[in-house]
Amino acid sequence: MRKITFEILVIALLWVSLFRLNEWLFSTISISQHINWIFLPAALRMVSVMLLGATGSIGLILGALITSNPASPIIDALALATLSGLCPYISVAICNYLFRLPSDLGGLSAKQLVYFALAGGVLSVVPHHLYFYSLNHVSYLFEGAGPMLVGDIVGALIMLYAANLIIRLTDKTRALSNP
Amino acid sequence: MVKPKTHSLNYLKYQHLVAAIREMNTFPALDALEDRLLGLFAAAWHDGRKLTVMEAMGISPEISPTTVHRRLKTLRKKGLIALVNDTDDTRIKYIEPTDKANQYFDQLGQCLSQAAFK
Repeated sequence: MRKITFEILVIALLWVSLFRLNEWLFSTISISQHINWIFLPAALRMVSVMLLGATGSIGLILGALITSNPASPIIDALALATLSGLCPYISVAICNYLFRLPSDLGGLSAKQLVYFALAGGVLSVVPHHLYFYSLNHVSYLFEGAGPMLVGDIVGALIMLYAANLIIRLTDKTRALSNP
Repeated sequence: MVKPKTHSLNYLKYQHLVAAIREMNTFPALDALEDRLLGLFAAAWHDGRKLTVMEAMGISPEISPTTVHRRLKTLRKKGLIALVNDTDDTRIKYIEPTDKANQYFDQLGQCLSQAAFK
């Protein structure tokens, strides 16, 4: 139980850090509080659920609750935070099923990882916009869906390529230090 | 069969995820013929020779010109070669390595050095 709580807190902390970093780096290209042309935490949504399943999802909900707009009603914040944690869980489950991946993700390829990012983007944008539309936060269905989708996918890919770069640099350093 | 413990399963997931991330941005897989042709082209480029499509089609007696032509198309599609027209005679096309091909050779060189030092 202590381990699960720790994992939830780590994911929530990572979410908050990435969310703040994203605000700091890309506030100039943000369209609204929920929509940005680049949204780095999208990668965390995907990776945390792929690695930790439901625990990752709960961590995301907690993180999204912390970063929610304090001025918005609590119901709104709860609903959006739940979507933030639940949507990646569903998209990862669908991708796992479609790619017939085992529970240890054995055989996961780079191409499939990109599909995970794409599916994560689509399955985040659609429920979020249905919710925004149902509460009249947007004047028409899928208003701002394009930038949000682009933001989620670009954000996830930036993070994945950054991870790729770090891994390759680490591999190189390791190879040089252990000739 | 013994079910793996949660922590080891998470570690396995992490390992496979890292492997997939490591695989990103790598070169498209080459088949044996493409690899062989690229090696032959590289030898010509290394000698400072400009290689035309016609020359490439006869570069190896073991590979038919039609096969070479087909592989030139796939190598071009994979971004490893570029076809450049001769400035005086547009009927002549030269095969040139792209930056990606140069990176590919660099990576192969690094792999060889690493293997040699191990």
